[in-house]
Amino acid sequence: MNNLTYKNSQTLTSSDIENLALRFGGKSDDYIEIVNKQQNNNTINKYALLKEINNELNM
Amino acid sequence: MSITLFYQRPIHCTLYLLLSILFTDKLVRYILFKFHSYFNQHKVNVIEAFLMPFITLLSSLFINIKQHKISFEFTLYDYYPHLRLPYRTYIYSNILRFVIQSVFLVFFKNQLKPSSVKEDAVNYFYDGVSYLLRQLRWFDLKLGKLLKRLLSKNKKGPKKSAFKAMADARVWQNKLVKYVILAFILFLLAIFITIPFSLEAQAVFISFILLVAYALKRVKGQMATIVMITLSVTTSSRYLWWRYTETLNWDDPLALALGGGLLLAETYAWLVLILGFFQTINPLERKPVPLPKDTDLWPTVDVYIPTYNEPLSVVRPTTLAALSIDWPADKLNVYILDDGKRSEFKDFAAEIGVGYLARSDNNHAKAGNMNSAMRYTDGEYIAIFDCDHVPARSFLQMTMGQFLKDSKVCLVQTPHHFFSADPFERNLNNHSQIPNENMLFYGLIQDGNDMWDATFFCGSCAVLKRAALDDIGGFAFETVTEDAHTALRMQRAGYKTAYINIPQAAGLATDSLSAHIGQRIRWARGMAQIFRLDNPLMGKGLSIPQRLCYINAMLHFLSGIPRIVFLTAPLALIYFNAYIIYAPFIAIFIYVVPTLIQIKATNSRIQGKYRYSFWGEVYESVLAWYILKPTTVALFNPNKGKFNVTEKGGLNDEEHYDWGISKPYLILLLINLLGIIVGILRLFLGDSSQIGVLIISMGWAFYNIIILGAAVAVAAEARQVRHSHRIKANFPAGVRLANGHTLKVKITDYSDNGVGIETEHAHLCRVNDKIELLMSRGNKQFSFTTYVCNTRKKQIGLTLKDLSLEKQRAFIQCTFSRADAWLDWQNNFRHDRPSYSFKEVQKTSLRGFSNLLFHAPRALQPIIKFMTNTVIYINSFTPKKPIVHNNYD
Amino acid sequence: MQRVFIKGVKGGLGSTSVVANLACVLKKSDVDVIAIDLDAKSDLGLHFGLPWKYTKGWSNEASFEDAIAHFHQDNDGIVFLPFGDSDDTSTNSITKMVDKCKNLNYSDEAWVLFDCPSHINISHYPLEKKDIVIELVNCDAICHSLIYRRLQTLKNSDTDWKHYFLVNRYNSASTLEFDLFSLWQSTLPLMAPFFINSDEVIKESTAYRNVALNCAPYSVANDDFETLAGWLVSKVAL
Repeated sequence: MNNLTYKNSQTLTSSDIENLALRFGGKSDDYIEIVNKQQNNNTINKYALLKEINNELNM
Repeated sequence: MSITLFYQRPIHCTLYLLLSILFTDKLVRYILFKFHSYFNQHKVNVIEAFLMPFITLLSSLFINIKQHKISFEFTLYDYYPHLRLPYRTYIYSNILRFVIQSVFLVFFKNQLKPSSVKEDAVNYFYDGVSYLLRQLRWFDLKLGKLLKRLLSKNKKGPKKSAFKAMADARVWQNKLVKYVILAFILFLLAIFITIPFSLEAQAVFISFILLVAYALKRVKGQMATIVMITLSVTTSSRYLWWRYTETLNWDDPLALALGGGLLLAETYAWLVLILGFFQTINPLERKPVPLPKDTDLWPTVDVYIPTYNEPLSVVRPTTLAALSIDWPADKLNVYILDDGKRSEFKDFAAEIGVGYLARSDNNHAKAGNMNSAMRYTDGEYIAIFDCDHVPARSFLQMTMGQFLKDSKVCLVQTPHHFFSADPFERNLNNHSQIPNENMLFYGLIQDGNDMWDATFFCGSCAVLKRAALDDIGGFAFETVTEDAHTALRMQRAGYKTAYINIPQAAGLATDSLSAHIGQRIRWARGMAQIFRLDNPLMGKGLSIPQRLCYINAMLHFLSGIPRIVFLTAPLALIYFNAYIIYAPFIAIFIYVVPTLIQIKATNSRIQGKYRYSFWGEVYESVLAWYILKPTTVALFNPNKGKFNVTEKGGLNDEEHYDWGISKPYLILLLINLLGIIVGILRLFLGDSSQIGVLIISMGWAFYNIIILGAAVAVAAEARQVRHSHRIKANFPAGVRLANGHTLKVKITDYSDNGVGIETEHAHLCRVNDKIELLMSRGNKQFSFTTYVCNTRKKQIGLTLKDLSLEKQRAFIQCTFSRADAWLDWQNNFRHDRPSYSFKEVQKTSLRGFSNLLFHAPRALQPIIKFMTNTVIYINSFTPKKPIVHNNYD
Repeated sequence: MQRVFIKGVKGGLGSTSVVANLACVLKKSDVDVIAIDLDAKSDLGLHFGLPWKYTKGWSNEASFEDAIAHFHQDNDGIVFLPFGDSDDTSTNSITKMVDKCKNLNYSDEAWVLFDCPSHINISHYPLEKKDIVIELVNCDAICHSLIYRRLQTLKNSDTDWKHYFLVNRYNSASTLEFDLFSLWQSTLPLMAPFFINSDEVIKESTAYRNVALNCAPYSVANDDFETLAGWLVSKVAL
């Protein structure tokens, strides 16, 4: 089990933030990936089904 | 011999018949065969081709060719190695060579018989020497390791830096104790520096110091560095004291004047050295501070991208990257500050949704531009990027924490990193092999400044606090280096500055040597102006360490005159017989050489990762002549002189030599070369008592020639082929082929419209295939349509065509803006090794000389070609040593 | 034994392939991996190279002891149990089987992967706190709707297992998929932070009677499965 405990850093999901934290200290958890709220709203508004579901949930 | 053959080849048959009279049939066939071979294959002219076989036959009378044919040929070429190509077929000259070589062989016995006694003795001698050297090396290694173990700090001890440990020690708390100890140390230093030693004592003293330096060579750790620094301070001060007190010749006014000049230059160098030690004794290596988890608490930031005449293709990636910085969208505002007032920029800004600010005038260049922009923006902080500095997406999160942690901080500066080669690297072709010129400043000096809270603003890749700028009345515009001046003002107003030694942006280096020098002239002038207008030594608001750091920065730009003095000093003795160092040869040798070695060793230890030994002299020599005038003018009249903008993004379309720029180096080179020649003449014809000092002067002049040669090499502008710069990289990505299969790949390089990838094993893609490239930004995957433009077994070059704006943005985010894009900026360099570095400088110097010959103006080219060819031709006649084969051939 | 239940939020999302590939990756670290087919289609065996002529499985037996006689082992050492071709495909029998599988005798580090049919609600299974449930989704609007419906039912259930959604067959070139996944990444708490890329080799490997890992070790999908395995390990440790 042990060699799967650490994420294989050759994978596509290897993170540049992790590399940064590795080199200069600090924890990669401290980094906050900003959510593009504008784009999310655009997506919801663009597709009617999504919009409807969104409205229902937020009632 | 048939009649038909006779008609087909009349000459051949006639010759055949003629020769048959004198020789046997076999010989005749041989002669004709050889003749044809020489004439047709080797293109030898008729007469020579005809003569050659006869010569061979003639020599066969003396030597039994047939029996030892092959070994005969070998033996022939062993004794006469220069008869081979390209002269093999030049029969007349070869005869001459043959004769000369034979004479040489007869009269100068060469050991070809391996069993001569003398030869054995020589062999033993060389074996013995190499054995001794090997033993010495082994001894050196063992000793070094032993000393390292003895002197290195205990690994389990606390990680606190030695300097901090010393500085925080309890003994300093009591002010009285502090002053007493300081006074005592100064007293000790004063004694060591001023006590006059006899030559023997000095020799012993200096060898002791060199021994300590040797012992510490392999010992890592800051304590050892501090010891080395102390020793360097002692030896250099001692040297300077000796110079002032014992080596000025008051009787000879010429020597006094010249010697005084040299002494002033040496004092300057000593001052810079001491201040440099002070500045870099403990680089702070500040760590980024994390921001609060709640992004509502984060402040608003305006990003300024000032531009004047740079093309849109340069500004585009910067703006796209700035928009993609990981910061809440409602708290991030990007503005292009366009002093060129170009409509395409305005359209671009509107297209991607950034602000566009243009003002009605262009006063005070960049500072004025930013001051004007401050009237229309209101973010709490201002981040500034030169239009070619592409920021990483983590830029703000790495820097803003400092502001929130300490409200007195007004500036956070990050390194300027270049993804293209600067003129030195490009023209000398050593990009990524030798740390480049600005790495010393951003890698070490600014970090050292940070320790003393003396970081100054560098004009780009930094964040400033708006409130602090308002406090001092906006960006300073009285000097041409408005950035350093602004930081100085803010520090006087009581604010603190910070430096984060993590490259979070990268841009273009200057294009050409002339642009580079133009930029440095501007900085030099600006620093001199600040020195005059807002002298950091005086005025309130600065602590003493801050003053010293600023002064050192300014002194650095005053190096023009001292460097010229150093480059011409030895000639004073050679040309004018003026004893600029009035001391016997042995004293000079004992004082000067070990001190220099010690200082070089200490500097190499401190700066080794950021600058290799001797390259500093080369950089200074290149700039010396040019910053002379602006700094002197600015020192006397700070308001004179105009601001010249550095150009970014131009193209060198052909290789050429910049004669205009290199005039000063050529002149200096010439007078040094003449100096050597004059020196040699004087050695043979002149006063024998002066031989010692003459040799030292010639040695110094020779060293100058090497440095100047390297400076000359830099002026040969290499050709810049690519328009968009290609940046080396190493991060994982994927591709999806047209048949739906995916492949893991590694991105090896990228530019703004192309990517180079490497697959794990042989791929089957062909040129013009359409491939989907999958790259990530953080945990988001983006897909790009690309086309294969070239392939090798495991590598593929891809181009991206016609990307939409969204895709362009995404591409920048996945490549240039990666948080770890520039992390390797220092990693690739081994630590400095002075002797190796000097060899590199020598190589570069030779390259410089060959460049001069190669690029000579057209009129001179034929002469040079003729001269070189003549030399080579004459050289081919000189007797050569026969080749001795050893048993391994 | 660590139990992982993998089902699609609706049918045809590729859950069986995911089980097979995940089993292969987990097996690389040399622990016991057991895969059990709970889906009446009984196609898990084909992913592991089971000869087509074997149609029987655990559903054909009444007792558990007879059922486990149908265990096969593939070339990589994975132990798997096909469903069989019984007519009794009721939820009840499947649930009982899950329960009985607790009696399998393997170490604590062993993984037991259940390939669950998409039409059976996960809450019918006797799940425990340390069980992990992965619901596969594709990036389309129907799955979006199904996710939210599922979230509503999950809110109302009282059992306490680790439930996640995982995107399969992800193609970032599609605008809809890209936008939807960005939305899900930032708004759905149970969404796994990665995805399995759409890769032809997953389809092809079953034609070769193998798994993607063995057919194309240099594919991106391979990496994705390794990421999945590593992520699972980290979730187990929590």
